[in-house]
Amino acid sequence: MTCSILTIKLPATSVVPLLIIALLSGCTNSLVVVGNFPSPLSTPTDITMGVVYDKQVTSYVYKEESENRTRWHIDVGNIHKKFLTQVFEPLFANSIALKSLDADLAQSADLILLPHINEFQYSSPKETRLNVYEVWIKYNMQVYNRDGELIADWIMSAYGKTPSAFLKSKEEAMNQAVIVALRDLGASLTSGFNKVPEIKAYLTENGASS
Amino acid sequence: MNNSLDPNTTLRCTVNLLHRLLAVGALLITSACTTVTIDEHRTSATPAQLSEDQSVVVLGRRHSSDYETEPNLVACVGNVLQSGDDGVTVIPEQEFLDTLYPWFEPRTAPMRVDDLDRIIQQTEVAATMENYGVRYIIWIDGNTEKTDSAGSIGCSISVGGAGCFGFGTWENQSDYEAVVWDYENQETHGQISADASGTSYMPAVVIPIPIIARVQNSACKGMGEQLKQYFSSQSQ
Repeated sequence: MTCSILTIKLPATSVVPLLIIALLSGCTNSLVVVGNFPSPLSTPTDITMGVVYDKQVTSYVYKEESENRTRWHIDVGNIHKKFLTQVFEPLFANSIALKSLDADLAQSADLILLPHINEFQYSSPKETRLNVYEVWIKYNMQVYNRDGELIADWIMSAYGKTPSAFLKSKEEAMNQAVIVALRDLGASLTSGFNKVPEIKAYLTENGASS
Repeated sequence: MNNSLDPNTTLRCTVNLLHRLLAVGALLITSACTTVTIDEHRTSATPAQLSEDQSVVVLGRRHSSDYETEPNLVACVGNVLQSGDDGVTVIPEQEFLDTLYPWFEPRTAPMRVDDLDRIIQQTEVAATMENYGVRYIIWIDGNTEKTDSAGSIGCSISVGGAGCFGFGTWENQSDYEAVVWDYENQETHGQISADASGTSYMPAVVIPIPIIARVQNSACKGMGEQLKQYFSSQSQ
């Protein structure tokens, strides 16, 4: 079904303010991702895991600059810290938050994880002709031992989509897609972290049970 | 002679007109029809045994890239299944997914009944399933989509008033399949499919009047009632 463009006749004096409002509000979609997550149901691995919450992750803002796409500013940094803290606490016997790899506190951890966001991508219903927003986030995960030696380095991806964008604002739909992607990351970490060959070898060598 | 109506009379006339339009609209909305076909296939020889302390969970499949089983359809089937005196205890989908996170997420959810064994090796998962008293897991896969549309409606607003004129029509198609897993015996117990279709219309003469075919709702009710019968008839 197609609908013709709305014909609106207004006094000339009210057109200019309306145009200014339209120009100011219609340029960029800004979103600070918010949401809640459940804690993973898992047997904790018997190690102390340090997690470095680097600014690259905690201040990550995706800016869509393409002329052909809708302008987006998506702040996914804050939600990552909240999410990773919640995921890692039940996964390990102890989990400590670190600001950097060089911190003295890093010495008290058996392993230190340094996550990085490599890439953020999205697609909208306009582009895919599906009534969903989709989000892909690519991460680089690096794990160091307490001596600061890199023992594992791998790429992880997370994918999320809105169940339906129907009757949702663009921001709500995008927010939901990011939350689903983070849940996917949590699923990946919970089920796969200890299966990364180098980490599995470390846990076996050090007699850490999971 | 003064022909002008007093404000109260004008208001009453407007309200009467609106009531009539709403009544006509409601009548037309209820008259839109859908066709539903339900198929049932039982694969297990053992009847469904569902005691009072046992429950079922209805979950949507979300692994396909081009569609997603709608959460509202899953909730609707659950509501139909637990309604009435012969209803069964249904665990809400989101509550189940959150409590057992992340073992029933699209990435980790078991695709075959044999994969359940992999999940319940996690002692916490097995304990939570036992606490819930889960006996059957019902997986629903499918979606509702618009398959065809035609017509056009034009609307305009001016200082003198607003109105629409035209005619639009569209067809929706629902295609769902529910697979019942017996959690205790770890086997596929049965399958129920629901296909529904219906055409919606929207004539517009000043006001657009939607005559909606509630295709997804019909598929939900058909599938929910059939599932209820599935458990109640086998429990006898």
